[in-house]
Amino acid sequence: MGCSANSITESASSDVINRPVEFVDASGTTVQLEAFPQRIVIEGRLTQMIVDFYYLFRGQDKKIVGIENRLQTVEGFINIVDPHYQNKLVIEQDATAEQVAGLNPDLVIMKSALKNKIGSTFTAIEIPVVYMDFENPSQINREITNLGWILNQPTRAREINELFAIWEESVTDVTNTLRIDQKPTILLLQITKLGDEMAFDVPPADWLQTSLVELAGGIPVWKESIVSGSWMKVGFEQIAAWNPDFIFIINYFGNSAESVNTIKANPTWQGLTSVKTDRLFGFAGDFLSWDQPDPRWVLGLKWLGNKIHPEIIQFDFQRDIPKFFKEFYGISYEEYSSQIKPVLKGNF
Amino acid sequence: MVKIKNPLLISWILLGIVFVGSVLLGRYPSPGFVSPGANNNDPLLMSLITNLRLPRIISAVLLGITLSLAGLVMQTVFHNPLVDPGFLGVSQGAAFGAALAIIFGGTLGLLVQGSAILFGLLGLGLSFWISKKIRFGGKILKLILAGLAVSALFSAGVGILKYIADPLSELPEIVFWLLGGLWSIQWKDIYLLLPVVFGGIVFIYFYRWRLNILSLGEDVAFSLGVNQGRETTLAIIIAVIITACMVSISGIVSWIGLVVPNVARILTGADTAKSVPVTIALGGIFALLCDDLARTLLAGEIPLSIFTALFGAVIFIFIISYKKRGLE
Repeated sequence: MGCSANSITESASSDVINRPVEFVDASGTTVQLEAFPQRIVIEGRLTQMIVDFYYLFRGQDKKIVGIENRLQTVEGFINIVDPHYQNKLVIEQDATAEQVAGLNPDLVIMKSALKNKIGSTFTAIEIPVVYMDFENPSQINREITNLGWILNQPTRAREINELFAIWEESVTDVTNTLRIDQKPTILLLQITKLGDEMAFDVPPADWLQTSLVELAGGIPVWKESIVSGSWMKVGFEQIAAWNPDFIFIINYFGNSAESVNTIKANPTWQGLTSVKTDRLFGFAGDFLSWDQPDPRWVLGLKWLGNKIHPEIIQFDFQRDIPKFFKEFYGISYEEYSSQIKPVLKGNF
Repeated sequence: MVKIKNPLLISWILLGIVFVGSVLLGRYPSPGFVSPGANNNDPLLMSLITNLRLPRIISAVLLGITLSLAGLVMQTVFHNPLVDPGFLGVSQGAAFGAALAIIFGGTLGLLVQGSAILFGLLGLGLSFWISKKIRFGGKILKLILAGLAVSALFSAGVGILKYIADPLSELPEIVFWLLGGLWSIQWKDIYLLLPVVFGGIVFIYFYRWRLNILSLGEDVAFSLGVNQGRETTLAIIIAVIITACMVSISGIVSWIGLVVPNVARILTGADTAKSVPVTIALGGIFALLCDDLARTLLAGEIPLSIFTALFGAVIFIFIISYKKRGLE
């Protein structure tokens, strides 16, 4: 800890080891690489998040030869740091190992959930696979470290992990001191519009969204009730039964602030405590919502902590957002103002 | 036939009890029943019951009635107790229409329901059209074969749409729709569909005497002054239209249309004049109980078809396992 932002951003690119080391990946497999990969493919579901973590390592974009084209916002954020990014979206959805093999990769990166379905087919043709998950701070720390080994940038990996720790601790140093009775009840709802209807889902207990609420000093009311391993639909009756102090609305395909306005106008919702006390918020985001397993999670944590505990956790809209993009991606204030600020969404 | 005194009265009283019990059952303020006077002190509970719970309960009853009646009509006119309303490509057609709208329709209001109805009816039309092209077998066999083929075609189409759907947004919605559920029902959905669905139910109720004649075969029907071909087509079309309308808001809900008419026939015999009113009550009870479980058992919504399939299959096994209660 204790590195200043400037020293972190300036030191990054030096190679410090001469041959790859062994490391354990998200699937529990010990990975042994014979040489540093030079032709990397990012494959499978949720490639956007893996890509966003990968680009924290500056100057490594040329090593990517293929990314599966199933991103939430292909024309968005990464174009700012890699103008040639679109040329790398060459892998169709659910491409097989045989199709990807044509790119001649020397490493494939994917989520661990895909190990049996897709990953094993790459292993069968002797293309190395590294599995990564980003569902909690310790997993994120491990994957950043592993990316450092893969890209021969262990120093930069340490710096990134220190940066994450600084941002995380700016919130958790405060929230860890709170007694249980000082923590309000929180409900995080992902909204989906289907025709005129609104559907609401809550995340599983072991996903980052649930961890975010706990780290931000709240009590996730759904945590003990949900048995699903994925987003689970809940009815208004259950939402009313929880009747939490705060509700945060996530909208992956629109502006969450507009969703909040629609909900507030619904007479049935007006009976809820959080609506009566004006504690219903649209989760903040830019190209991506900040609740997701993406480097932005620390931005989401700080924003969420400030909404729940405004008196003890500071979040300066004008200062903190450009600071995040500068520290993590080296994006200048001018680039932020012209390309990221206009797409900010949610309630600030 | 199982001897139960006055199955009609008992089934309708049961429907009334289950209906009232369902109004008092929910997740708010805590999972379980609330006392009838509790809503006087809790405006949120009052709002919840009137705006969300009641329309959902009514739609569950309507869904059960519709699918059961449609199943009874199909089983009667096809002389086959193993067909259900999804027969003739209607369910798969509706599923294809809904999936198509979810992927390409964006957030346009009523598009999913409208598309489901349209493609459900298209499935019916295609089945009739293809059946006329088949050069062998009787009319019933031709329709069965055509229905199988159309269902398979739409099923393949649904598979393709699921393959190209966005895994984060569209695919979960398609999967949830295919598994069926009444989680999104509001009064406006009921107002929209009630005229057609209620009209269809009333038609079949008053038509129940003639259904008996259609089940007797073409020669007997003709000797009794009934144009069997025309009236069979009319009965099927009415049954399919109300099925498509309900499926458009509920998604695919299986087994109700297969099991409930068989249970009703076991209680009342094959006379449709008696089995139709009992089918109406039993269909309402079955769907309502399954939906009560779907909305209250866990904090999250459970797809309705999981329960209808589970209990439907158990009842079906029970029916076919015992000679005295067997399919008649």
